[in-house]
Amino acid sequence: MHHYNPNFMDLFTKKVKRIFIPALFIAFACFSANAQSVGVEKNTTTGKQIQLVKRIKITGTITESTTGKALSGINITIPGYAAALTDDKGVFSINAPGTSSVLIVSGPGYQEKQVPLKGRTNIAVSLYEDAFNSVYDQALLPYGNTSKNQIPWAVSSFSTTDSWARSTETPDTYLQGRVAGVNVIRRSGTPSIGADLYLRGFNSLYGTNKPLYVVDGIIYDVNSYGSSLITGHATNPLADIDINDIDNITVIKDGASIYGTRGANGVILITTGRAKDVATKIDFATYGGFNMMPKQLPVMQASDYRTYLSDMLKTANLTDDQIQALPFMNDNKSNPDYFRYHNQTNWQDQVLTNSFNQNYQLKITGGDNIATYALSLGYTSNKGVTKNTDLTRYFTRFNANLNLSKKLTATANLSFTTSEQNLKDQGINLKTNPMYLGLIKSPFLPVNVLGNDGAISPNLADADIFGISNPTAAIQKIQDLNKNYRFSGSVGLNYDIAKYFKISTLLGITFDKVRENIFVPNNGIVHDTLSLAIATNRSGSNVQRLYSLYNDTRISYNQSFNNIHVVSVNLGARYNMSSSSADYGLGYNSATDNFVSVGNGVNLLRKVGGQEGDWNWLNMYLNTDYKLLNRYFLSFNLAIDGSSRFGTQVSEAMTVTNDNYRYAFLPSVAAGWLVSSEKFMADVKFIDMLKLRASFGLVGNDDIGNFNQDQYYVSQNLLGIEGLVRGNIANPGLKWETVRKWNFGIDVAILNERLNVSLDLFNNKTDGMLVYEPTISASGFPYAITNNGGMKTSGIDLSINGRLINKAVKWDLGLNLSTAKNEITQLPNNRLITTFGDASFLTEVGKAANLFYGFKTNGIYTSDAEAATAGLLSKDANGNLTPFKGGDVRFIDVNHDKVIDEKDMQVIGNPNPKFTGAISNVISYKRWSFDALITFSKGNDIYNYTRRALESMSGWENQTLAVINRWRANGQVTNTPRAVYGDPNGNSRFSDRWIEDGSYIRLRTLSITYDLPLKEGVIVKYAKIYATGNNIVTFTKYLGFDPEFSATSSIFSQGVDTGLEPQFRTVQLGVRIGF
Amino acid sequence: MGNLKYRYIILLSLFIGLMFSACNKNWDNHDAVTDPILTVNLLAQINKNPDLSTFSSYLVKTGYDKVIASSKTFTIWAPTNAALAKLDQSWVTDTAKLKQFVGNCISYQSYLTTAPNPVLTIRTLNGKNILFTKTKFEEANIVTADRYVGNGILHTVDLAVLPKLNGWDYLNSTSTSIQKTFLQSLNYTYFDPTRAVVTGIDPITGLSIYQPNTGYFQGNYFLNRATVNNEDAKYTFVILTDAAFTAEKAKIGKYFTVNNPLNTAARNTFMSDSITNWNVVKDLAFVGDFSASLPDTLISRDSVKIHLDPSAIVETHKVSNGVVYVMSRIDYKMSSKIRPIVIQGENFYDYLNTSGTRSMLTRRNPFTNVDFREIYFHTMTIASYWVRYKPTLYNAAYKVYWVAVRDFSTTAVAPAVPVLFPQRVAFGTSALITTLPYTNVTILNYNEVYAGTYTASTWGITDTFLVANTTIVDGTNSIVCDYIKLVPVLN
Repeated sequence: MHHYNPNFMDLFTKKVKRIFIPALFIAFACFSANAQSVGVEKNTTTGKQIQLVKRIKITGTITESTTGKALSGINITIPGYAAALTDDKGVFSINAPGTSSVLIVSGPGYQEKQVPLKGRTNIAVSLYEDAFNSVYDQALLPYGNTSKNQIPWAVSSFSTTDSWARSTETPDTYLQGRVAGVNVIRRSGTPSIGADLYLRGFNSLYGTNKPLYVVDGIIYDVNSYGSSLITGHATNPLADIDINDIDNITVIKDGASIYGTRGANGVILITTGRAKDVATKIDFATYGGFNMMPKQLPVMQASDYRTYLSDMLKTANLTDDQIQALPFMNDNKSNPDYFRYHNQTNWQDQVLTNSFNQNYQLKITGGDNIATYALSLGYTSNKGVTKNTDLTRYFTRFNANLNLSKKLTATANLSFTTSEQNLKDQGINLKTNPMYLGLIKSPFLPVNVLGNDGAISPNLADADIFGISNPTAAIQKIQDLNKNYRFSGSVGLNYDIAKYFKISTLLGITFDKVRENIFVPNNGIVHDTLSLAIATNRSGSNVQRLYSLYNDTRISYNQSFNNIHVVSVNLGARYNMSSSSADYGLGYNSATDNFVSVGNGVNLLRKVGGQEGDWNWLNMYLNTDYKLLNRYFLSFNLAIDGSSRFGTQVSEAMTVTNDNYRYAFLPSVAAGWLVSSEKFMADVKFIDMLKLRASFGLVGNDDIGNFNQDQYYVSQNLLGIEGLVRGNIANPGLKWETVRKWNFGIDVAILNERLNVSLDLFNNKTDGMLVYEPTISASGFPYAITNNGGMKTSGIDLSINGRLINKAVKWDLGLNLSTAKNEITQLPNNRLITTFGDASFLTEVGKAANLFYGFKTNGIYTSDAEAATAGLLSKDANGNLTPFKGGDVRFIDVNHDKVIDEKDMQVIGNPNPKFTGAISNVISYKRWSFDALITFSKGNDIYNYTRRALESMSGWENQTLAVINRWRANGQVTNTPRAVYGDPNGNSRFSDRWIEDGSYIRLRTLSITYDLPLKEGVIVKYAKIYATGNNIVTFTKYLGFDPEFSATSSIFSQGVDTGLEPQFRTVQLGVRIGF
Repeated sequence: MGNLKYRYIILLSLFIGLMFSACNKNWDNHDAVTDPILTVNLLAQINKNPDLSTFSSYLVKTGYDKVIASSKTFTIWAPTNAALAKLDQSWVTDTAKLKQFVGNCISYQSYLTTAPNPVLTIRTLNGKNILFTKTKFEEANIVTADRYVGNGILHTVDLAVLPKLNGWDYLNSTSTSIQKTFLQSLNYTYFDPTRAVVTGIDPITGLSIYQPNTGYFQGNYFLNRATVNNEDAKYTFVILTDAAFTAEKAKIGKYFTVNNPLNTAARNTFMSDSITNWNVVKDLAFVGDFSASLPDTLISRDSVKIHLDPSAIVETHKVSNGVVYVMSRIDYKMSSKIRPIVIQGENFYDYLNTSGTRSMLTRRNPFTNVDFREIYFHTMTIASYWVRYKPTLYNAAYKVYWVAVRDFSTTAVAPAVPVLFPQRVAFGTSALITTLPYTNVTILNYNEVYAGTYTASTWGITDTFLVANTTIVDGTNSIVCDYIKLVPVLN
């Protein structure tokens, strides 16, 4: 997409510079007047047609698609014109204003369907059941509901009918495999940890790549404020939404600039359940499940491990006698150390476990014609597969609709969720992560302290002579507690000012608090080194708060002109004020391991700190939708955004009078053509629906930091004197990132909707992308934050849904597939290298943003002679050169200078998948229904950090069984290098040895439901039994615990397997009863 | 319909079964042992080789089979059946000896033939060191080399390499000789509290109470000086034939004759004999194994230069820590053995009293650029002030020299010349009667100054004095001394 003017944005901004909000209102008024006049014109021109075909009588039959049975009592309407019902033979007759009208067919228990007449006067329609995923379903959009076949934007919408059976999911993980274009990467197997979502790849290097979540019209803040004290953990705010409360999820994927500078990564609209009618309904469900311990990695047992140590130590400049004098080499039972070093401990058994989960849900809906309500309560408890971890969460939600007067209606949404989670460190925390310790801990060491005679003491063994903590101590004695609550409440008012005008406002507040307490004991855990002391034990506590106020007020205008022109205009403003704070305290060296709070630590060592964040966002918006003849759709959105985060001297931006505020001007436009409603398509009977779409829009990303545009100061201690120093280079020109999004789409439904295909091509281009631009050393700062980057992402979203069998057995098969190819277009110095967990990422113009950058290898030198012939030297961090020997890894010398150093690094992998997607299956037969969801990811590379630790063969860490193949003697052909203490030749450096194919295909969910037959008239309306399995089976070549994980949401950590708790298999049995 | 249903069920169960069976083969591929030999331990590898069956049976007999099947790493130089057929049966029938022999073929850790450069000394499991080169294991040739298995390396050799005695054990294994008898007489017993068993703490003294008869170990004064019993050391150790030993004693005996008037004659005779013996044996062990090429001169720990004449070598014994020569004669210059005695001025034993000022001077000899220290006693208020030394003297005549550098008061106020002061050396007593004459200390003289001759009448510690002038005037009765040198007159 190089052909359009790169200053496109500027054309807009220059023209509209110095426009003020009142001007918008004037524009709006003109627009609506114009729209009306257009309508009148069209009316007169088409008046001829209307007169010619006036009051045409349309007849037809309505049948059920599966059985062919005639359906009686089905509604047929032409909105604003006529309505009819089918008789008991399924026959209807209705008057239509013309043969280009559209009939809307609906009935209780059946889908709603739009039938364009296309010149026909007799039609036959067959309907699917209510739950059928139809192209005529309603999508819940910010400005109202629209049927999917009339939307010109790239939007996916679905009702969450199966959420009852998936009680362990959070909204983000539940989205996995649901929508083409949304790549959901689960963070880990920790209960409720959630997922990182990439909607059509990514658009930013340092800004957020998370989509915007809007829950019941209120922006739902999913960021964490302050980092967790628990390594590898991040509180997932989305887990505070019970997925059983969700009715509908709509994903806006293209550049519909509805949410201005917060919509760069797409928008996910979540609508929670409300009462559908006034009758009181009670739903109760309970589930119990079993979590299965993940399959253990094959690490060595005591004898192989000791042989390995013996080999490795041979290279450590120790004599045979010194090696034999090590306590674990002694085989004499009378030696007091014998029993302490002759055990056979499976440490993975010590840290992993099978466990249980349970879940209760209660939902009551009802009301009267004045007010309806939906109340839901939930309790979930999930113990996870790491010992001594668990999650307990309580959900409450109250949604109400009030008809205050004929013209005034109100809504209320209140939700409060609280949770408490006992965790353990995960990821790169080599002293306290029990999973990691469970792999590397020497198998011949005991769990408990042993006497000289082998007698077992109840006390846990301390950290060992190898400097490795006791995994059991990490499990039993380390405390990692996370408590969290969130309150979200909103009140909305809607007032009908006039027939076509409505004014509405929505006011919401959010309180969120995360509190963490940690304690790492002295006994059993390796001590930490501080700048002033050795930390024997450590404690910490942490409080993160978020307060947010949100308002969305708008005037809406909606008018249909004889069903020919339909115009809708929304003009309004959104305001969001957020304030966050994070405070932490860290204490060290309390007198005993029983004093676990920060206050008990040594005064000198105690650390306190925190951060504050305040920002405001104002979004003024105009939305205009125009629909002609129910088949031509045009939509225009404009957002004018101001934010406290934007610099005061942003060039080429909108300003308001002479003050310092700068506004982002973000328009977007979309057009759709429902080709299938054209007359010339009347004969193409097998096509039910064919729609072409195109959209272009500008959206922004305001995740540029709260204060980076300003100069700020940070405290600095110099020789005991506290002072302030400059903390950054202020950039008053700092602005939002702008993403230009093109989208071309086609939606097709054929053979009476038996097969639905939707295909989208997209191209996103980010300008003004935030970068950390290197500065000259004289400035005293390594970098300045600027808008001097750019990238583009393009790809395809494809979704196919088909009803393969439509008899007594119904089988719906769905496939969705998405690709996103990223390329950096602009970067200071054209090149950037970042590191995460010993992995290096290359970001370079012309390449994808986050490629693994390391060394390529080509096997192992089989002999000293071979290594000498190759003549390569390894350069260490100090610049020392050492020659490679037999058994060393043969690294590729890219620049042929005979030295293996950083100049020989090259791209060795790409963590971004070539495509991702899912296959869904729903099979129903009589009272049985069977649901299987298969998700897959193809072509993503993984850096197996854990395996690197387990196969480096350079230290005391226990290793995998693969190191038995290590090189021992000249002439030995093997793929595993020799064991060398300290790895002087860097055999274990970041290379393609640790890069693995992370492709996988997984049977994510399998659930079977049986609807119990109940007698008429009993109080119970229905009762269903569910059996659900999660994460049943995974096909992958990946050697880690699990190929799906996300260490952080940064793109510079993707694909780095730091050793997070793996996803595990769960089976659940549950029952749901409705009264 | 019924059939159809079953078909679906079968298909479904097949599908699910396939899924479960197909998963997690990755690790099996990744950690599959590529070389099956790596799952085999040394014992199994030896048992696989029919040519090592005898060695294998010896392993079982000695219990080493369990050791080499364990999870440490080992290197084995296994003699073939043919090699073991030549082994003296006495090594096989005596299990203790067999254990010694088999242990001699096994070491800890992996040693490949690539390791020696050119030769590697390796400790075997019986505690002996062996020499390993790229082609040889001690005197045996390596037949097949570098067979790696799971827990080490296997070489096969064409000769049963017997464990060797070390130098000390060899001496003890010989028949009675003067040297052996004397060296064994140097044994002593000592107590090492760190290795004694503590049974309690004395409540009164707070000291440890040790279990009787624990913590006692035997030492040997000769071994304290030359550790010919240390397997990790390398020694060339000379054992003199009785005739040679007697001749040596005769040669040096006169210098070690004790005529202490306080002793009985028998005791003087005994002491003379014992000291002479010690002075014979102390220069018979040389650090280093020189059997490969014997140099002209070997230097003992006391820097005595000894020439071992190959024609005087009666027997040569390769021992585990070097070589033992049984010799009929050793050659050296007497001046190398009976060497001048140098008494450093600052190493005095005591001095007359605290009168005067005592200084230690550190100076640089301008001719040699060597730093030296000397004593400078002055402003003494007593006549004939003395400083005493206690050197051990041979029973011999000596020429006495000193170095006394006077670099102070080198010029007096003109026209007067500096006042020279004399000093003298005295033996036995500071009195003038046994003394050498006064000799003036000249100015800025860095040379040895001859101070007379003295004949000692016994071997032993002899009081030696440096005596000041008989005056009490400042500047006339000072003492200056870098060192005193007693050069024995050898004949």
